[in-house]
Amino acid sequence: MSRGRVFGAVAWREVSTVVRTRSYLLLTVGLLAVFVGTLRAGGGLEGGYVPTAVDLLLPLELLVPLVAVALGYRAFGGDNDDRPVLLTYPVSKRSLVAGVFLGRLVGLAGIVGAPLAAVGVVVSRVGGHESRVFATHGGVDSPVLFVRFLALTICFGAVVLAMAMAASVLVRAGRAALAAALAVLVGVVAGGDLLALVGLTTGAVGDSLLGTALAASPNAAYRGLVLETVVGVATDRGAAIDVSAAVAGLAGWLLASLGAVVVSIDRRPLAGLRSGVGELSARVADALDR
Amino acid sequence: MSDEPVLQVDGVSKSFGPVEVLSNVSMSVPSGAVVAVIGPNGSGKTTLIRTLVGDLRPTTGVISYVGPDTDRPIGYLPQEPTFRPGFTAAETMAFYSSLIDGRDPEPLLERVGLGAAADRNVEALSGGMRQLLGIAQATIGDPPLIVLDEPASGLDPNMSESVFETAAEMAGSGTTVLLSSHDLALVEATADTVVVLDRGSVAAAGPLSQLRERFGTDSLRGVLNAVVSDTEAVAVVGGSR
Repeated sequence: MSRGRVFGAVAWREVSTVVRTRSYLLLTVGLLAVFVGTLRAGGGLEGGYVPTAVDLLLPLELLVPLVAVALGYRAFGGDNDDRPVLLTYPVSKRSLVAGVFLGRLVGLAGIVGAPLAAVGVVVSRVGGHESRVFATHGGVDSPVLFVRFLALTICFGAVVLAMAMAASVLVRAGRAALAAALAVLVGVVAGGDLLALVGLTTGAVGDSLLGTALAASPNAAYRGLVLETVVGVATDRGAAIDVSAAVAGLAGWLLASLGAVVVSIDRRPLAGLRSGVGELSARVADALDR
Repeated sequence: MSDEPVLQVDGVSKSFGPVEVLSNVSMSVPSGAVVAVIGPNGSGKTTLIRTLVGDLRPTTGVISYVGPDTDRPIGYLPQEPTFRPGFTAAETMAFYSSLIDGRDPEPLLERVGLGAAADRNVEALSGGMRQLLGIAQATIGDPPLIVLDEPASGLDPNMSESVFETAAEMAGSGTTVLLSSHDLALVEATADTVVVLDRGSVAAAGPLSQLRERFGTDSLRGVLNAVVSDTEAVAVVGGSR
């Protein structure tokens, strides 16, 4: 049995799971409704692809992590957890983790990408003259920029999905896993920005280091990359973030999270850390219950 | 049954924090036999089984699979099998089968009596049917050793008997079956070798006839009562915490 076939079988099961789960379909419809509402309020649709991307950027910073956590936090928990059985098959840890990650990422791309693609189609119909041109030069609105925006959004989702999967593996108990997933969500949505702000106000992070510090936060890196490579290209106003640092930041979170999943998948290493995180998460959950 | 072992367990201990659940367990699992692990609640049966299949790493000691070289040496039915919701029994079996040889899993479902429920979603299966599906899953790929953690749990008496008969048939065709159970009558009727666990240690092990002779009793219950220190209370190893 080749690794490729095992990987394909595992990934296909994850895609099928996402497709068969009605709540994920509802999530797609909900996202489309939020996008439509945001764009009607902001007027981005008529402005073209880049104004649309700008209007959607802030909601996506919250919604993409939400979808990623919803998909990732039970990837290895509850009825989805058949690791003890799977590990009796010739399934390597890497194939299992890669298959689950890719399958769920395809699901995420569908849930987030489908409504975004629908928005892109609408922009091509109702947007200005420039929106119908495939620009090859900067300073012009173009579908290419919207595709880039969509790709960056999926990449951001991939990073948070990997982080949520790591939480799912490190903390397996149901309520503790939920608390850990919420911690990932809050950390991604607000944690990085707050830390950078604290660093700036206390003087720990100087102006010159701010771009690099923000790059270490997934959502700040995503925001910066969108502003730099989508909005900045069309408006000629860039320098929102250090691009290479932002790419390295996202890649670092992705690889570290997937590495943590691979190391912990057979419940052997990190047992002490896992029980510690589990205990902490359970206490957080208890505190939230009170 | 042959004298050649399929699994060798040497000095295995397993601790969860300060609590030692298994203590210096050594045993040999002969090939082509039905080996039953029995013992009171809390004696460490499930921990031993999870350690044997590689789900838990022993704190000390070594477990060696020494059976035939194959893609799937050990098939495993956990005590509480979980299946992916939204998939039918046939789809579930097809997925696991695709990880090995991709053979049609329908005959395996038929063998455990689930042929008629092949197209039913796993969440619509009764507890007993899920158990049977788990047993069918454990046999995918013809592993030389099949480990079943309480396979009769949740099954009616006839179905329990059928599961144990299936285990005996598999052993007859050369497959080793290691199972845990509280049903001493079925164990007595089926098992070639019995391992009695008490408070995480092997209190007695061997062919059933030898155990009866050794403890001067004519039943497995008599053996269990003779070797287990307190049959009235749940064994709590490692104190109250």
